[in-house]
Amino acid sequence: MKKLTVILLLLIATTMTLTAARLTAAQQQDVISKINKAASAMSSMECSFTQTKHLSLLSDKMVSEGKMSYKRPGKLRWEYSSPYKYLFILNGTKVYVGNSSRKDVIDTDNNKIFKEVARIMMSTVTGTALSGSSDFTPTVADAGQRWEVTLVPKKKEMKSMFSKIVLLFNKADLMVAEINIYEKNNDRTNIRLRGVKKNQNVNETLFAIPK
Amino acid sequence: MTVATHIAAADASAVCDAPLSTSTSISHDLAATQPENPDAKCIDADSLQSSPTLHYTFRIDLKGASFSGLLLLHDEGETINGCMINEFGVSALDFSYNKRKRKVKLLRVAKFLDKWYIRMTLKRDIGVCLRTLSDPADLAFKGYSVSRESDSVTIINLKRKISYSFTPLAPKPTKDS
Repeated sequence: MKKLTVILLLLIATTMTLTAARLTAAQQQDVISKINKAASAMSSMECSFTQTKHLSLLSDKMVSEGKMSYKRPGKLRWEYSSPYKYLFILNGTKVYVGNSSRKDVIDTDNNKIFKEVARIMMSTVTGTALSGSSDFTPTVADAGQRWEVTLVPKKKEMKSMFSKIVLLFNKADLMVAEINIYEKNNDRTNIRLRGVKKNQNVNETLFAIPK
Repeated sequence: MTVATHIAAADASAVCDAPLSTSTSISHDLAATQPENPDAKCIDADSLQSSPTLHYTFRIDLKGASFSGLLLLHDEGETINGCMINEFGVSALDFSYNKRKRKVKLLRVAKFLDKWYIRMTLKRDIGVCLRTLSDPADLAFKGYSVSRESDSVTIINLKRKISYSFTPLAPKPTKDS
């Protein structure tokens, strides 16, 4: 009986450490404020990323890798290097998407969809999507070394594609470490950021829109 | 390194006609049979690839729009399941291809593709694409043109003027770089 009790307690303790603990509304707001403050203090960011797409239909995954660069106020470069080449650049109101066979430049002032996509990408990566946003309802949980922020879409278009986006912030520096995008079809995309460099000199040419 | 698959090509205009196998891996469904057209070549079965899921980059072009991403195919025995996703991993289309019936079933379609006339066209076109993808013989499909350049293949729906281009993705090296 004593042995069973010990085993049960161990199981409960393990479960408690594995699941993120919900916070009170006040605690959540406090964390969100801290994350917003850290995001406001960030003028640039560079990192590598590994993107893993989990496909429920195929019971398989697709792994791709690349590099990301960000410079305030509105510059983002997202480049896939393996196993395919694909480049996304956001610079002000211009968006460039291209690979070896096709390149497109879109003016977000004339394309509402791309404007929304660009804005959401930027806010998700930098962590500014958490508050004052008409896009998401955030909830925060304590996940040990990290804050787990769950964003539930508010708008119909996003809701039709995604059930939620989960951002994991390192508690040490309040930077996004991981992004999990949950789709309606039970697919999930995990993006892990590595080698993050904050507030360093970022070469402006990285955001130049290719002609 | 290219990835080759063979799928039943028993279209009315196909050069070979054969009973379907029930192989559990992606292999063509043509057993050793006599072609209807004696001058035509039967499709040879290639050796199976080690990876169970086949990856291609794809691009779809039509008037005023284009869409690119990745096509992933997995042989389930009687069916081939497929997913089309964009480069960011967002799903556009999930489908299942029944090798025996030679029919495509759309399982999930992104909202911007979810119109009855688009679904109807996609079902037919994806069926043609699957049968063309790794078939070394130049099969003809009525209403479509097929062209190949190096590892890439382009299938055009001539009536709708929709072009589908596929290029096999090299498998990731097993050694750490």
